[in-house]
Amino acid sequence: MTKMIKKGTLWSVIIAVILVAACALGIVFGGFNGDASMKNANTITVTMNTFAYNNQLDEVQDVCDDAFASFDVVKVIKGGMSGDECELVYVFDEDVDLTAVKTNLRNTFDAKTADGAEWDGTFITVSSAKENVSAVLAQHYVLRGVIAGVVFAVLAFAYVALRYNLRVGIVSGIVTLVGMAVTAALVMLVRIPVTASVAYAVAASGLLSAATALLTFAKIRANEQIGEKAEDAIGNNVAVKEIGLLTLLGVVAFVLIGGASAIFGGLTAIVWFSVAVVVAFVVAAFMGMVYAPALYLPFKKAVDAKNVGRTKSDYVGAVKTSTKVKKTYEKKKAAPVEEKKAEDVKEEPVKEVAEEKVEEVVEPEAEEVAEEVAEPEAEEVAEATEEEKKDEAEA
Amino acid sequence: MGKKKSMVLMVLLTIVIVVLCAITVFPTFALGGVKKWNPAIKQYDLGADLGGVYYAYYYPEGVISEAEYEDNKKMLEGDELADYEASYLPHGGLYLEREKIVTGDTATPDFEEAFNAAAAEIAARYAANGYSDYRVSVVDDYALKVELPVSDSNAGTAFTYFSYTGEMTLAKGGELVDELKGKEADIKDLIKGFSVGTQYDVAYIKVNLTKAGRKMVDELKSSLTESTAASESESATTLDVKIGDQVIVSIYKDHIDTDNEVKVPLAYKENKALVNMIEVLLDSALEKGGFDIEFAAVTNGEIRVAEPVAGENASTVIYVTVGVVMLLLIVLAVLKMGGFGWVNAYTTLSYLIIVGLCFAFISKGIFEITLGSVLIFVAGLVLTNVVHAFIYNAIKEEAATGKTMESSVKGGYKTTLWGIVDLYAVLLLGSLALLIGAAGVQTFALQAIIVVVTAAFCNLLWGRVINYVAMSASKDKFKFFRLVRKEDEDDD
Repeated sequence: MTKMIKKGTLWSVIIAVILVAACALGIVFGGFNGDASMKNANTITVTMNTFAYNNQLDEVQDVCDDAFASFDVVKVIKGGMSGDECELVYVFDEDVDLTAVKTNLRNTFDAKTADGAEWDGTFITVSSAKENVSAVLAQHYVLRGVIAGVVFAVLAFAYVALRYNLRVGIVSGIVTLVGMAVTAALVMLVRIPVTASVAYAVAASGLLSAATALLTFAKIRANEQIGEKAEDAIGNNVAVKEIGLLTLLGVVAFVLIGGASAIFGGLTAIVWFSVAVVVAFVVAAFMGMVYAPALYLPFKKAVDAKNVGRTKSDYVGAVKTSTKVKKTYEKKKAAPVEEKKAEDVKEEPVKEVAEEKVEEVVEPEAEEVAEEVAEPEAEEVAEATEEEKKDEAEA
Repeated sequence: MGKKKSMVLMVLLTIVIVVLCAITVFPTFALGGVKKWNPAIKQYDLGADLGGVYYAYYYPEGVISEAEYEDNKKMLEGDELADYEASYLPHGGLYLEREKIVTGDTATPDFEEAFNAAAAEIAARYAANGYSDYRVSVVDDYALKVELPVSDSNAGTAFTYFSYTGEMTLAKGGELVDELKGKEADIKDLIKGFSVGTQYDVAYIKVNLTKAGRKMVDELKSSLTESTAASESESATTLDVKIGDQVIVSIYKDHIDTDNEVKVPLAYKENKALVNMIEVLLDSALEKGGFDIEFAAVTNGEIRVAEPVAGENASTVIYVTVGVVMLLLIVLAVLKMGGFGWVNAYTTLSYLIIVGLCFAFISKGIFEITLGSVLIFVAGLVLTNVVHAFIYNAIKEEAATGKTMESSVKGGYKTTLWGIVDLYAVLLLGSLALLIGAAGVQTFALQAIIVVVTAAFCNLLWGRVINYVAMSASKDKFKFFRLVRKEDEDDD
C-alpha cells in the first residue's frame, strides 16, 4: 500500500484524464448513454379490447413475436386501461423502418378477427408512431444536484477539519467531490445505459468516498508512531480491511440484485443501475484506500519536516511573544524583590516565635527524659561504686 | 445483570423483534372474506422503475390516433367511408383533419407553431411539479405522450389539468369581470401570482393580488355566496379563476379576508401535492398566457397503466434479493463473531424494522420508493454490519492484552466511539446537503437521513444494549466472542 500512496501525482493525472475524456465524450454523444426510456423510438402499438387482453394475450404476443423475429425489440410495454381497451407497445430504435412489418401484422390480425375466423369478435388494431423524448429531467435539477454535491464537500471539509486538522479536512473535501465526479465520468465513459436514477449512484459515491476516507484517517490517527516516516505512518495504517469489507459486501449485494433482475426481467434499468452502483462502491474504495492517503502524504511530510527533533511531549510554546505577555512579564519581574522582602519580614518574627515555642515545649520534656534516663544510670553507677569498694575492702 | 434476568429479557427482545419483522415484511395472505394481511412494505409508493407508470396521450383538436381512425372507419361504408378517408391526412401514426389544420400535404405553420409552444410549456409544467420519475415525449410531431409513476395518486388530475392551454381569466357568476373586458386588459394587472399554504389541516391556494386586484375583490365580495351556503342555494355566485373554459379555482365570500387577501382551501393537508400541482398550472398559465391550440380532455378511461419494464414482479424480486443479502450478512457475522454475531443479527433486524416502517409511514405523500431507496437501504445495512465488525476487532484487541471480557468490551466500544461518531456525522451532513437537490435527489436525501440516523443508533446504542444483555446471559464470555482466554492458551 505504501508504494501505491507514493504515486499521488500519477493518480491525480489518471483522474484528470478520466474526467476530461468523459467531458469530451459527453459533448460528442450528448451526455450519458440514456436507456430506452430516455431515447427517441419508433413504436408499434397493438390495441385490443379487454376481453382479448385477458384471454388471448399470449396468442396475440406469439403473433407479434413471429412478426418481429428479425427486428431488435428494445422493450415491450403492456398497458391496461380503465376503459375497454388495452394495448401492447413494442418499442424499437428510431432508425428502424416499421412500415412493412406493420402492414403484415395488420393483415394477419384482420384475417384472424374477420367474421367466422378464430378470433371473431375480438377488436385488434395496429398502429405505429415515432416518439421524440422532450423531457425526463428538468435542466435545473442537474444544476441543483451539482450544487448539493459541492455543499456536501464543503461540509465534509469543515467537519473533518474541526475534528482532525485542516490538512485532513482539505483531503476529505477533495475526495468527496472527486469520488462523485469520477463515478459519473466512468458511467459516461463506459456508456452504461442509465436513467435519471444514475444521480442516486453518483450521490452514494460521494457519501461512500467520504466514509472510506474517514475510516483511513481514523486509523492513521490512532496508530501512527512518533518518529515514523510519513509513508509508513500512512501506508501501514490504511483501513484496507474495513474498506475492503464494505466494498466487497456492497458489490456482492448489488451483483445479486442486478443478477436476479436480469434473470427474471431481462436487461432493464435495474440491471444497469446495479452496475453503476458497483462502479460507485469501487470508486469509493479507491478513494479511501489509495487516493486520500496519497493526497495526504505530502501534507504529512511537510508537517513532519517542520517537527523534526521534537518529541510528542515537547512543548515549544508561542513562537512570538505578544506585547501583553511582555508587559505582564516585566511587571512580574519587577515585583518579586519587594515581595521577597515582605516575605522575609513576615517570615523572621514568625520563625523566632516558632523557635521559642519549640524550645519552651521541648526543653522541659528533654529534661524529664534526661532525668528518667539519668536517675537509673546514676543508681547503677552508685551501686557499681559500692561493689567496687566492697571488693577492695575484702582484698 | 443476573443470568436469569438477561435470559428473560433476551426472550422478550426476540419475540418483539420477530413480531415487528413480521409486521414489516411478512408476505400478504388472505385473512378470510375480503380481508388481507399486508406487510408495511406493501404500503410503499413505488417509483416508475419498480411500480410501473400511468401514461396518457394528448391529441390536439384536429388530430386523432391511427387506432381511433381505424375504429371509426369500421363503422362506415360506401360514400361515407370515402368522405371520411378524404377528410384526413395520414401523418405517421396520426391522422390530421384537413379542414382544421392542414394546407396541402402538411399541417399549417400556425398549428405547428402553436403545438410546439404548448408542448414545451406542458413539459415545463411536469418538470416544475417535482416528479422523481416522469417522461414527456412528442408523438409523430403533433401529439404528446406523458408518463407518471403509479405511486402518484394525483396522476389523473395532473393529466387533465396540465393539458389546459387556454388563457387565464376571472369570471363572476360565469361572466368575465369588468376589469378584463377591455382590449388592453391583462390578467397580470389583477393577479401577481399564486402560492400554497396550510392552515388547520387544510392546504389552500393563496391568490396574490395586485392593488387593482384587491380593489376589484373588495367591490365584488359582498355579492359572492358563502361557501357554507353554497350547497343550500341552487346557484352560488363565485369569483372563478378560469383557464380557457375550465374553472380551476372558485372563490367564495368567506375565502376573502378583511384585507382582501384570497385564500381558497382545496384539499386536506395530506394531499398538499394536489394543491401544489394546481399552483404550478396557475403560475404557468399566468406567466405564459394562452396558446392557440386545445387538447382533447383526457378522461380516466383513456389513462393507461403499464407494469414496470423489469416485469410486474420487479419489486418482489428486489425485496427477496435484499432479504437474501441480509441473511448472508447475518450468517457471515455469526460464523465469524460467534455470540457477537447474534448481537449483530438482532441489530440488523432492528435496522430493517426501523427503516422499513419509517419508509412506509413517513413516505405517505412525501416520497416514493425508487432504486435510490434500495441503494441507500442496502448501503446502510452493509455499513451497520461493517461497523459492527470494526467494534468486534477492537474488543478482540483489548482482550488480547489480558483484560477481562467486560473490560475489553468497554475498552473496545470506547476506542471506536469517536471514529464511528465521525463517520455517521459526515454521512448525516452529506444527506442534509443533498436536500438541496430536487425531486428524486431530495427524496433520496430524506431517506438517507433516516438510514444514517438508524444505523448510528443501531451501532452506537442499540447494539451495545443487546450485547450487554446477551453477554450477561452467556456462560463463558470469552467463548461468546469466539475468543480463547489467555490462561486457557497457557494451559494448552
